[in-house]
Amino acid sequence: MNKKISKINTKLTNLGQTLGLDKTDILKARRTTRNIISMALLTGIFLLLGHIIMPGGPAGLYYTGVSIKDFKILFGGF
Amino acid sequence: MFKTNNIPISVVWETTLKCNMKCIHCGSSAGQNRRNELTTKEGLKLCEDLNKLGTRLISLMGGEPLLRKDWNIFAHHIKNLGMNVTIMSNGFLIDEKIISELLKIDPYAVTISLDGGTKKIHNNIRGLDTSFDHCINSLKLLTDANLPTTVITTIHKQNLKELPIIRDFLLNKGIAWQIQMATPFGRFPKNLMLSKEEFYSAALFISTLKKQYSIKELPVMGAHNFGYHSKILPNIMLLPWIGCQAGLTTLGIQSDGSIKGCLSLPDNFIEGNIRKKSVIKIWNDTNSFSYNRNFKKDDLTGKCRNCKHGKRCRGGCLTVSKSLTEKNHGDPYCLRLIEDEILFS
Repeated sequence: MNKKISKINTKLTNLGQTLGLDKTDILKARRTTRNIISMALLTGIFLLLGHIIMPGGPAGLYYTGVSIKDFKILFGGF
Repeated sequence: MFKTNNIPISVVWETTLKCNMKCIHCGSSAGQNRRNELTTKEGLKLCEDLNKLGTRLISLMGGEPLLRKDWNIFAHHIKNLGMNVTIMSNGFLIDEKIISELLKIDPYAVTISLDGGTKKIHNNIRGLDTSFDHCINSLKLLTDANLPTTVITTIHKQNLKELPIIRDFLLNKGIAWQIQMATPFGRFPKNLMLSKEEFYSAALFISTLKKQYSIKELPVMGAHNFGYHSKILPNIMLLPWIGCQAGLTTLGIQSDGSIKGCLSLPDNFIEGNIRKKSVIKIWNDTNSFSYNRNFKKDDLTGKCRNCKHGKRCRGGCLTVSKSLTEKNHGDPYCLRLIEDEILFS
């Protein structure tokens, strides 16, 4: 099992190096149970809020041409 | 004729095919006008019909939409009807006068294409020597005016390695960044398309940026052709993928009035023309957009047939699937499939 994970990590590192990514950053960017759940919760909460703020929600995400307003609807007014 | 429950929430309208650039990856081979482009009067009526259908956002695209003298008439009309408007431009014509007009319009977004972090690459891709300088200047004008600005980068073999340079340029500028993959349609040659490994590297790049930087520092996302259901990477689009939305919540309108679910799809996906039948009738016809509205799991092709996400995913991006396999619902540029090929084999 560890050998398999190590092989995948090596391959990911090689793929990331094409674009100058650091090994540590690549491995941190992997999917985890935590980021799956937090993404799902955040998306749910802000989609609901977004629909209240603007009917149709983050309209720029349905097709091409995302807006900074879509990010604000999804992730708050940052 | 029946009424559908679907609403074309987001519409992209190619107001003209005329363009002042000649981009290597242009899917519609823009340059000259189409014959019989819609008149101002026809365009205004189109906006009114879309409003009746429940559209929330109309994106004015080209060619280069700012080459139409009536672009602002459409934009104001869309806003006056209570919808949002986005302007999708190459930035070449944006000056103080256009900025002043945009401020009056209050757009949902102004998107500018930036395909290289260096003059040489960007200008070469766009086929115009001064394009990079104009593009950078337009981004400065837009952000100085506090207009909602987005950079769209279309990647292929010639500019993949420019991504880190563009990242450094966009950092902390409050500009949204959409990264999308060029697909072999129109002018774009198949040999410049990213390999699957390069495609996966780009996905890894976006995923890493999303982890490294806050949304405020770098609001970045992969477009709809950057998925799907990866076992390794988190979702790099902003919302979970629920399948191609052509003809379900999205609509594309060509400058001659032809209607497609998505403008990237080839012409055999044209459902009708608004000069012969109104967009309301075309949209509400239950025979329209059958490839998505009447989709069945059996319609999946290639390796998607055996995927547990197939029914919901509908085989990824229809345009990529069609352009590479000549079949619908079997996009081979799928992160999950690629992982099976290059990581888990």
